[in-house]
Amino acid sequence: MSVLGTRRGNCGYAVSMAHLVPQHHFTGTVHSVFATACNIAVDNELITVQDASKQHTPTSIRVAAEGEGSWAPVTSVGDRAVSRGGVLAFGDHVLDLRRLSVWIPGQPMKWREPLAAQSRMRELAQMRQNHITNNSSPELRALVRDARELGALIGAASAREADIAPAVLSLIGNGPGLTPSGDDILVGMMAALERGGEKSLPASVCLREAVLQYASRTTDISAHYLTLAVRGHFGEPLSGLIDVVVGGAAADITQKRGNEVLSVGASSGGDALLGVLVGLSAVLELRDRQNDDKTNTQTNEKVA
Amino acid sequence: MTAAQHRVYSNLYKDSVALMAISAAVMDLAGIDAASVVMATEANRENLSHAGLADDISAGPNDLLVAVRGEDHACAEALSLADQLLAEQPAMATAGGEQVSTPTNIQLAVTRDSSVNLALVSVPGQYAAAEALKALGLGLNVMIFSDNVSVQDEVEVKRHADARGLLVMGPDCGTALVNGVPLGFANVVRRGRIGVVGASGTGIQEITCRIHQLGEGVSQALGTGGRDLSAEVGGISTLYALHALDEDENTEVIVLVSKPPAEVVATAVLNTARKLSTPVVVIFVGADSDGIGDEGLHVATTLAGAADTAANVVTNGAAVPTRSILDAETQARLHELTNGLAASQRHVRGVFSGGTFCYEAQLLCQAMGIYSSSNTPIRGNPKLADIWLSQGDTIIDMGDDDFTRGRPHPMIDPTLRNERLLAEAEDPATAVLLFDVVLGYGAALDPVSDLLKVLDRARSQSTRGGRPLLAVAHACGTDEDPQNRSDIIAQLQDADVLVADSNAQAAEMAAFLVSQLAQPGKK
Repeated sequence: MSVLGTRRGNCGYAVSMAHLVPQHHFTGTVHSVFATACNIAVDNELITVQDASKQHTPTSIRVAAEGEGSWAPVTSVGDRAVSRGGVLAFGDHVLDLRRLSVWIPGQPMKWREPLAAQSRMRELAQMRQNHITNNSSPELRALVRDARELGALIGAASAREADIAPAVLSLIGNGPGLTPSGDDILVGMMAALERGGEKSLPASVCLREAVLQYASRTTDISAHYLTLAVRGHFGEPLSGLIDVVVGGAAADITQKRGNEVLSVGASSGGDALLGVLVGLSAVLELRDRQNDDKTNTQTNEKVA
Repeated sequence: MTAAQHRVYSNLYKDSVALMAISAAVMDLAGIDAASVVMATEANRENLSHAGLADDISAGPNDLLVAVRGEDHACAEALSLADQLLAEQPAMATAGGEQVSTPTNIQLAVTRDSSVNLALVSVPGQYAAAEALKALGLGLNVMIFSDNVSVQDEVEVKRHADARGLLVMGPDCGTALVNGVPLGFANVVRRGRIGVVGASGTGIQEITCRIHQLGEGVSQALGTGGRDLSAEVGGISTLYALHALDEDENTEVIVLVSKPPAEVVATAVLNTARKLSTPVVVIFVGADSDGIGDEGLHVATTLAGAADTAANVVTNGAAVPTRSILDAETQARLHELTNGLAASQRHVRGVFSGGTFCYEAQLLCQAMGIYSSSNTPIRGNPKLADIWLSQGDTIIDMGDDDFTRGRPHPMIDPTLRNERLLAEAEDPATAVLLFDVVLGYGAALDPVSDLLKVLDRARSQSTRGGRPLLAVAHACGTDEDPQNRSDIIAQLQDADVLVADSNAQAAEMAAFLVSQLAQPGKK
């Protein structure tokens, strides 16, 4: 008899998983439970099992409910989770992960039209302003200021570790939400640098090192996303948004991707979008400077 | 009297929507001046302290903190309300508060997300054409994973698609990489400049993996279904895919892979390929390549060679002749291995899970004078009288319908393939075992644990009988696959298996080993 579907309740069925979900046998523990998602701690990672309406994180499994409505986890914190032969069991759920489609982010896009990208970024900034409800809170204003200062440091390209580490420290673990706003901003910023083609920049490296150094100062869940970001892994909404901006997609597509980012959590999406915009601005600033340097060199060579 | 109070909830996680709702509910209470519901990270504790909401908080970053300031009785009420709200079961709502269920048909999926442009159809064969037509009617390209679709249905669906400017991959299309997403049996390969069009699933897998191993990447890999280049279907999907990749600005070279097409279709396809602005590498596995190679077309004779040629063209702008598969050093090493074989050991026994691998192995063995029997013989090779019993040199495809009827494909469950390998090892006439290990999504997550036990048992038996056993294998996959190709190769090598770089090399190694033996009666 098949082991599948023998438990009680609305187990749901897995419809896709992200590329970093381990496919070998593993045993873990249910770490946290929410309305339509739960996290399973496996070694030092968190696997997120979530309703299929949500887009992928780098370590998520999307699950559809059997029938109408969203999938809801029926499990408790501390429950054992076991994966054997591609079948994951925890709480009341037994999910068949074999032959699922797997979400893998594509290669980052090459910059097409920086001018068009700047225009898209302005539209996204406006969308964010319209989305957030607590724009005027002093805490948020402080975070926005700190984020911009960090972006300016990165855009200057001459930043040292000694400058960047304190800027990261001011953001990490700071702000409301399960993943504090400052962390979401940092994830957005790292995504912009990684997928905007500037991950090897010394300032980017310093940023990642500082984030890793201070990751223990925030929640387990937030530290999980920060660590993934340091390794260059981002969720589907963020990757998709940055790719369309960098790739020079049309305004309506950018708007759609922007809305997907903004719909993440209560404030996380808006905070991550802020990080993306600050990060992409820094990347464009660097590219402008590199182009200017190249032009000056060519001019000097001609003059010489 | 105004005061500040707080409460810590250890290791309690609530999503941001819930935290915001609780915060708002607490703030709404009369007599509350300020409230905060946050995770107790160091930064947040400092902020609360500066805001006069809480001092000396003993809590860690994974604790939830509710802090309020206001009149005494209001603070007590607020913390009590927070207790109550935090104890409630999570509400069944998504971030936007909207109930969303999984779409249960293609129409619903398209309604939900108008950016969808491809439907994957995997239903019993008799229903596949109907589902594909529905998807085409909605303006979607279609991948038909289902097999057992009649050729009449295939032609109807493909003509319907062609008239609407849409692509149909399949039926029986097991492998594709679309916009970086592996579909069906596919591997984790980097994105890049080489596009692949193929009527062969394992052929596409071998080529895309090899491209990845060479440091290049794949823009798109489009399967067409094994019958697409037959005279009945006329290459409708192949022609469409060639044009699509030619127009794709991310594709700089196209590889076209198939078993030999119907002659009339081959002519049409090659003529189209010649006219494209993108260079095309053609590999018709087993077809006579004379007269194909000319301007704009590069011809390869092996799957690995096709990938090598494409990588050369994309890097250097021209094909660079690839070196011979077996160098002199390898040949000398292989020759030494044959010294200890018993007099009875004369034959190669190939047991494959990939159909095109079996086909290619037969071709390369035949080129070295080994006319192996098979359940799926190439031209010139004899058909096995009994597919369960090998005779002389034998190379079989265990993924063929003969073996998979009512059973999982050996790529998914290699049990039957392992049993056959053991049976071959027990045969005193077997000199060389030749097999493939196919990795990637859809394939067995642990394809070697049982295989290694089988090989160990086989070696024990054959050694007791005074017959050392030679085993040659090839692992089709990448290090980024869930199974990790390097790990698989290391495990096979630890078990004294000769692991080749490609299927072609494995076949040539096996053929060379057998050719070193005296083979009375060999054709």
